[in-house]
Amino acid sequence: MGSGCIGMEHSLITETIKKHLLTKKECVDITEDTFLITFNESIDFLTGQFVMVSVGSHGLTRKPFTIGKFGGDLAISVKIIGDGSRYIVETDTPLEVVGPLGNPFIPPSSNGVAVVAPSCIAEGIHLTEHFDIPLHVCSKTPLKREFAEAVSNDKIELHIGDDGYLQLLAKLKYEKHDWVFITGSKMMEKIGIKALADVPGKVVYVSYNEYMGCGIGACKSCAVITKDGVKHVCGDGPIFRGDEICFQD
Amino acid sequence: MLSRLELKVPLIIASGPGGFGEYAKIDGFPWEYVGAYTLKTVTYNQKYGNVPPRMYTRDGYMINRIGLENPGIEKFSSTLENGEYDHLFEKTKVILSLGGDDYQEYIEVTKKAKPYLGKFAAVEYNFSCPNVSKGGLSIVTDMTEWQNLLLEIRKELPDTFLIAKLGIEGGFIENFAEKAAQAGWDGVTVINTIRGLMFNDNREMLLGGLSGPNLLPIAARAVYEVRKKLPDIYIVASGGVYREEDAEQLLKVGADAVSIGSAIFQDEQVIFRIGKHILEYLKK
Repeated sequence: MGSGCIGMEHSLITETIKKHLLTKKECVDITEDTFLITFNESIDFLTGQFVMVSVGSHGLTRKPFTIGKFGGDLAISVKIIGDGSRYIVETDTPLEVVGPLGNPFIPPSSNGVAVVAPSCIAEGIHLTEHFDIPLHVCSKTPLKREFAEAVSNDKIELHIGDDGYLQLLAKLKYEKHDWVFITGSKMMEKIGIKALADVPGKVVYVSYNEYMGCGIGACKSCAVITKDGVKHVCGDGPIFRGDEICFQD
Repeated sequence: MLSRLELKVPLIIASGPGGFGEYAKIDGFPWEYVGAYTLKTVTYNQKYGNVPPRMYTRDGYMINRIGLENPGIEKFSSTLENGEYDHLFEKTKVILSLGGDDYQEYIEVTKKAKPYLGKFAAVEYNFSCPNVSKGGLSIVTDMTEWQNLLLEIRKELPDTFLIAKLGIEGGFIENFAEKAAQAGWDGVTVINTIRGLMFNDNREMLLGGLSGPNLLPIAARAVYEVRKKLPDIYIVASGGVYREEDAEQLLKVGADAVSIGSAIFQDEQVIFRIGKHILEYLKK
C-alpha cells in the first residue's frame, strides 16, 4: 500500500484513538507456539489495520497485532516470543486494546493473492474473505490438525517448511495475479519481495513488522527506510509496496 | 534563590516518548495530572533519525536509537504558527526541547525559536542524547566550550526558564549541573538515557540509549548528588519512573518535579496513578 505522506511530516491528527476492553471468546492452537484469539466484542476497523495490545507489567510496551475476523468474530493471531505475547495468550483477564491504528489496505484490483505466516493468519483469513482471493498459509512447522481442518477450504492452501514457501514463490511468479500480499516475519517478507521483484505487472505488498514503542506516531521507533525517505509503520503503514522498501544489508 | 517552575502537578512528560503531543489523540489521556508536556527535541536542521531497528525491550530495560528524528526548527515553527499545537497549550504547560549538532547550531536554533518562546513554560536544552554522532552528549566533552554555550544561550534568553538536560556520562553530573547554575540556568533534567548495546530477536545489534525501570537507582543517585551540591537549582528527575513509589523516592532525594518517559508506552494511565500519588505525598 502506498502511503499518503512521509513520516517526517509530524502534523497532528486530531481524531480520537479509542481504547477497548476485549474478552476472549476462544484461543485456538495454530502451531506449537502460535494461537488465534477471537473476542466477544467487536471493533470497527478496515482491512490491514492493527491494534496495540496492553500486556500490563509483562512488558514495557504494548504489542502490535494486525486485526482480522475468524468465524465472524474479531480476531488476532499471536506467536509467543516473550513474556508479553505469552501473557496475551494465557490470561483470562480482558485485554486492553488501543486502535484501530494505521492505514487500510486498498488493493489496486480484485485479482490478488495473500501469503501469510501463522502469526498473521487472522489478517490473512480476513483478507481472503473480504477480497475473495486465495490464501496461502506458509508455516515452518505443520499446523495443528484441528485448526488445519477448521480452516481448510478451496480458497486456502497450506505450505510447510522453508522449501514449501520457496516453491510457492516460484509458482506465484507465473500465476496471473496483479498483486501478492505477504505478511509474516521480516525475513519471509524480504524473501518474498526479492523473489517476485522482477516479475512484470505484479506488485508485492507487505504488512511490515518493526518494533513499536507507541503505535501512534509519537516515538518514531518503527522507522522504515523507503525510496521516498524515512516512513513509519504506525503512521504511513503498516502496509507498504515491496519495491518501495530499501533493505539495510 | 533561583526561579521555580510553577506546575499544577510536578509531573512532566519527558522529551522523546511523548513526541509532539500525539498522545493527545488517545481517549481518556489524563491531562489533569500532566504538569507540563515536553516536546520532542527540535534541532536547527531536520533530522531523519537512525536506520532501523530503533527500539527493543527486555525485562526491566529498553534501548532506543531514534536519533532525534525531527522536522527542524523551520518546519516546526510553521506548524506552531499554523496552530497545530494549540490544543496542547490549552490543556497544559508545554516545554520546548532544543538541540543542535554543534555550538553554532545551538545558538542558531535558539535565535530561531526565540520569537515563539512566549508560548512555552520553559526551554529544555538536550545536552545528553547518546544517539547522535554530533551534538547531544558530545557537546559536553569540551567543558570550556559548553560553559560558554550556556552563557551565550542565557544571554540570548535572559527571561526564559532554562533547563539543561544532563546525562551521567562524560563526568560527574553534579559538576555539569553546577556549570549550568553558574551560567544562570534555572534547572536541570537529571538524567537522560545511558549508552547501551542490545541484540534483538533478529540478532541485530542496537547501539542506543538505555531506559526503563532499571534506570531508577542511577537517576535517584544523580538527583541526590546534584541536590547535595546545589540546594537551590530546580531539578526535574528523569529515568526509570514506572510506579508511584519511584516518583516519591525521587522527590525525597531532592527532585522538584518528576519526569515520565518510556513508561507511557506501557500505559499512559501511569500519569494518572503517579500524578495522584505525588499530590497526596506533597500534602503530607
